[in-house]
Amino acid sequence: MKRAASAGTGGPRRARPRDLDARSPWARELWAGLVCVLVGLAFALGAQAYEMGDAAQMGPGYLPRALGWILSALGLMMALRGLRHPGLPPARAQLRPLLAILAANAVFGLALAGWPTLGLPPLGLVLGVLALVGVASLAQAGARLGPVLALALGLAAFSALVFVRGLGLALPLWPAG
Amino acid sequence: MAGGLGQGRGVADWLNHLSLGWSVAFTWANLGYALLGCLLGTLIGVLPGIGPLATIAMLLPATYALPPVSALIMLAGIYYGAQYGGSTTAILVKLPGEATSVVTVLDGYAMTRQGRAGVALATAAIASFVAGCVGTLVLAAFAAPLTQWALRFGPAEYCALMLLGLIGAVVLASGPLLQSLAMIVLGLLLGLVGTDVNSGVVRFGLGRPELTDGIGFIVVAMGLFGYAEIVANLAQTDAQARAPQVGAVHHLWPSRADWRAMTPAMLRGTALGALLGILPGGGALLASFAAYALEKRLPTAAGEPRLGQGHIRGVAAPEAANNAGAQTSFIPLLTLGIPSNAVMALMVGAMTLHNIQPGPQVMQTDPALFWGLIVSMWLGNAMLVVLNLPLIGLWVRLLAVPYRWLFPAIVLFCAVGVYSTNGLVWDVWLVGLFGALGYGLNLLGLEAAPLLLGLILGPMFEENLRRALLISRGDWSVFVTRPISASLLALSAALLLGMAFPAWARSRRAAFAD
Repeated sequence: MKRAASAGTGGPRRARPRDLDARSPWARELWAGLVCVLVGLAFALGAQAYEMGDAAQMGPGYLPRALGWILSALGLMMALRGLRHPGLPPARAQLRPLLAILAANAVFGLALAGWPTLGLPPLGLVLGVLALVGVASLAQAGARLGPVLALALGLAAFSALVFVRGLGLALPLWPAG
Repeated sequence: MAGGLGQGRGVADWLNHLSLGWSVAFTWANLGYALLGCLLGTLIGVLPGIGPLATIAMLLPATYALPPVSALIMLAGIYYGAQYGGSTTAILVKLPGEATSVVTVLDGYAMTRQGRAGVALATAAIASFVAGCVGTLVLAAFAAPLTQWALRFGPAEYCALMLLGLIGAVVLASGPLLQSLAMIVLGLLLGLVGTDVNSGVVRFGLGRPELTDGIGFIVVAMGLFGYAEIVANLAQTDAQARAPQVGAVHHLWPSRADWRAMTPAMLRGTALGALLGILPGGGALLASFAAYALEKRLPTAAGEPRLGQGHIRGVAAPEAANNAGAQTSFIPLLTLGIPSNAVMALMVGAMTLHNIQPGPQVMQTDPALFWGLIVSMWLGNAMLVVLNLPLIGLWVRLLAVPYRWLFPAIVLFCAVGVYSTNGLVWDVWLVGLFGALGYGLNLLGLEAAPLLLGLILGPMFEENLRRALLISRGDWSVFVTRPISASLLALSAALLLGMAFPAWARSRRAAFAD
């Protein structure tokens, strides 16, 4: 997994976060294991709805059920290891970037599709890009209107030229109707 | 059309193949696409925070209108191009642009501090070029015999091979074993969502018509590797990194003593990389780490700096290894149709998108594609060594672009790319969901790459499993009674059991702990 490393380029040195040294009984391995157990069970039990068949004639439910149980078993092993060897707790979630990116994505989807029940028509690519960039830039503190607007307009122009004109994607540029 | 070329034995046939490949790769269009891929690859290799996996996923939908060979040429260029770009910033500003360049930082940056940045950069480029050429040669040489061998595979062998690929990917990778295995299984399960080809039943469709075709791999890739990476990057750095200062780079060409020191390391790295690239789960990353670890074990002559203090071997070996590995990791894909890592899994997706069924038959049914791609990889390496030396100043200046300008663009490309595959807004919601899921996985210490691998292999795996057992009438022993399948399974078991021994696990952790 890549990280935007900031090593060696200055900036104030933060004190080591408490997480890095903490050993918690609620280790991330334990949580990961529990999640896997639940998801595995969901698939295994959900697969009961389909025909199983036997090995020679595998029905649609055969492999999903088997894999679901395997996932649960792996999850159980993880959870047990997590209990026996307390380790790092799950990393603290940073909600601001997560929500900003998801909201930017959602806003773009809304702009492209509209929301009939609310009377919102499809708004087209240009407005979608402006909205996406605007919302996404909220992910970082200290975003200023000027640069964000410039970036949004630039990307909107780029999208219109490259995606619609250049690649020929079927994206409406402007609001419908 | 297919029967025109020989069986692949003998130099004459081999030369025929290469000349066919040359005629395909050396058109203006395909040269242009190779150049574009290499440029893009170098660019994202230089920029931290975006890698070949996300880029290939984003560009896949855009290649839909291209002829298949051009699409593959461009996408391949992105992958091996990124190996070149990552080393530039690793050497100059201690910032590895790619995970595969992390080890290059050690000696590369040390050399920069000693005023030998130019030599380090030239070494990286030369080593990468030589290794890339050798890797392509290995690919060309092994393609035909491996394909012949693979044509004898039945469904049982395919299952065993896929299992080896999945387990190998986990064992040879860096994450904890249980977690990665669980992610593979989850990926397999997600790959089974949708209509079952055999029975026509829609599995886990939740009543939604959009799920009858399953969960698209582009959506998953963009969510897990595009959005989740962005959120993780933003969550980590809250202070804007100041633009790194780079002095002018002089004296590019290595001295004779430098050549003498770097050549053996380069050859060692190439050999190791070529070998490790073929292995499932292998590829550029493992190759670069292993090559550096090897160099550390070898003695240094008197008067030379130690490894880690600016020895030229510490740059030549990993850079050669990661390029050779990047080329040879195409071998399982092109000869057997099995992806050996997550990037190759996306290539499988790309081929499927263009209605090419990956497998040993590709060489016979579409030799122009096969050999054209291979020759274009050699051309790409040549382009890259030319691009990387004179244009270094430009690449480094790009580092000054703050991330806050970059990430909205990436979000945009992901969203547009996902929407353009099917024209459905549903996909936009789904990619957001996988973005959240990817971030959640990140918080729990679970890796996303095995999930993608499992997702793409899931349907293939089930089909072969079904067919194998249908033929053997439900007899599971078919997997161990057929010799090829049995040996592949034995290898998988050996890899897994090897993990159980603490000594092996410790050396694996040590190799990744730098």
